[in-house]
Amino acid sequence: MGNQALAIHELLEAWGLESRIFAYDMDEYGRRFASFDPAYREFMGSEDDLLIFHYGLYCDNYRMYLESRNRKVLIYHNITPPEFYEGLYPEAERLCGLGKDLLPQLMQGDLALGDSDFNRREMVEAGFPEEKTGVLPINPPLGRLDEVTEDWDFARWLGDGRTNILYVGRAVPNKRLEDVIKLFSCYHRAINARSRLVFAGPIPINTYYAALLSLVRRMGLEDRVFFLGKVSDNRLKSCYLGSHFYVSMSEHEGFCVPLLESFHFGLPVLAYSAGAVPETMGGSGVLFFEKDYPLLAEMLDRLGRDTVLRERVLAAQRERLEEFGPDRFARRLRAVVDMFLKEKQGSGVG
Amino acid sequence: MIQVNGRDFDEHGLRAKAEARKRAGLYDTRLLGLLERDIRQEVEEHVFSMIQVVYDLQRSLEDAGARLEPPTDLSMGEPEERKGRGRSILRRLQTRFIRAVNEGYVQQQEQYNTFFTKAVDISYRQLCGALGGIDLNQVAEKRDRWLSSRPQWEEEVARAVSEQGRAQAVVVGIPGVSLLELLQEEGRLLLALDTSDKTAADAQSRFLPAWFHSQPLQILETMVPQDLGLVVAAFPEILTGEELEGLLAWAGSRMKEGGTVMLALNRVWTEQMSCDEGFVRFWPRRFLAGLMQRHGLKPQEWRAGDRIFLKGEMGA
Repeated sequence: MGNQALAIHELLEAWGLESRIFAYDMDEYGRRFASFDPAYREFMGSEDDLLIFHYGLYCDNYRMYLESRNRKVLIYHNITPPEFYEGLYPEAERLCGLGKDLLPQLMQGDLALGDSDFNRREMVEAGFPEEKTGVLPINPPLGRLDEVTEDWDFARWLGDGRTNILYVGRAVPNKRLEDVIKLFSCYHRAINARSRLVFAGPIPINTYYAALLSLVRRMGLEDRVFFLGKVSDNRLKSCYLGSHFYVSMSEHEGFCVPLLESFHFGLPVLAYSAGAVPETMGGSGVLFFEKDYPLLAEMLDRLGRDTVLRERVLAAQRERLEEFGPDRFARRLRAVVDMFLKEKQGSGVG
Repeated sequence: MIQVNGRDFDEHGLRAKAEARKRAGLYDTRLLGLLERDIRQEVEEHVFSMIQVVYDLQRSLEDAGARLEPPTDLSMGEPEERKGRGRSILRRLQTRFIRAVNEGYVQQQEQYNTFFTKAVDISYRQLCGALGGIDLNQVAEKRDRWLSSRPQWEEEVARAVSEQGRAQAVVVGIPGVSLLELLQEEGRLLLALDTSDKTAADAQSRFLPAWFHSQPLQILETMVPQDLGLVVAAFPEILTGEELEGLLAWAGSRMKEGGTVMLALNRVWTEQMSCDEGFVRFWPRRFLAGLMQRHGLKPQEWRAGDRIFLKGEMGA
């Protein structure tokens, strides 16, 4: 969400339009570009301004969106169905429930965009008029990783001859990290003991993390499953370059940027078909519809041994990635901005 | 169903292989059971449910009118309350503090575990350093290299050992695939365990049930063999004294009369692959014999080819 807001901000400024970012919360990096949302209040009254509201988490600043007199575009990044958090993180369950319930109330804007068609359809199902919806796909910031050097110590560790299976993303229940562990247990126990599983991404829910560690221990995989937590771009790049497969077992995704990052770094992707994953994969990579772990472990083995199959998968992934170039994103955003600029000129407001 | 590049993939070959591995015993029933396990069961069976208790308490106090957290909605709250950046930052700080208290104990536990592991590692290194101020990295490397080599048993040794005991067999430390193949052919091999993933992977590539684990006993303790008759420790040096004791206790409590434990005495023939003495444990024969006796096994020296074993048999 933050990356897309930043990408839009940079393009708007490049087109000579004044742009500001406001957020409820932000990290150190975000503070270089954004202000806390109360600062938005002074702009709320203007009918000439365009408010682009990114919605992916229940947050009380939606009231500002409702009260604002700006022209409004909603960009929906999707909210995780609350049931995924049941029994694991009650506060998140409550907030996700509130977030889902709130969606229909955000219908009053001029345009509602999903960053995938999956998200757009969810808005339509929530009652948004179809003609007022569209898709603005995420512009994956792949160049960011190209520019950094690898974490060499970490790369050496990964490059010790073992087969590395990678998952990148937040460790949250809808991503089903436990299913990745189960698949790995089959691969490691029955096919290739010289293998390890690496999770790279923030671990925001201690309960879930503790449960995952408990499962890992129960399966006897303590020395072979690694949770890196939030990693630097250098280390993330090493993860992609030093791994052999990317596996996603997620059961709810609004888009899934790590799939495209894996495409970019030449990692064959095996992903469960759920949410926006099939759309993001776009007919490339390995997609499965049933979590038959021993069967999927054989598929991993096959991909590792069959170089022709592997190359076919990688070629299709590269081809798919071309459809997510920055030009395409800029063109779509420009069309949205022009629509409002023309309306403004047409109405004589200036 | 699996699709590759948008097209249905012919899964017959994959399914046949998966079934063959199941038949060969590479997937045991416990592992297959764990594949069905819901992650919430892990939560329910541990103290992590404390989080829910704290959360429920917090909610019920709030329902009763106690205000533990500032309102989640910035625009709500008392009319006279100051809104704006300062208020917003304070609210975030308060919320984070309360969440940190709620969940802090899990973090503390993790920190303690990390601290403990590091402390043990540092102690080991300090102890080694005190023994002569040697280059520890070099020693560790040598030791790892030594321990990663496995004695490769000759065919005649493997055959002779495979003929010992009866019923199901467990192997700890894989002395090449010959022994495992012989046991598997007879339908006796329950599992082979090793602290080297290389030997385990070699065995797996031949559809032999072999697992890697840095502490093999942990895996054994989860197993419930129907009719255990033979335990072979081809490389007892990979186990600590406690683990060896645990292994023999595990075997002694599960084997019936005639059950056999074979412990390889590697000291006599491993001089050529030994590194600096003092960094690899060669278990003394008397120590191993004592352990066997303690767990109901009658020890005696036994030879096959040029290898010597301590063979322990369960008495009546």
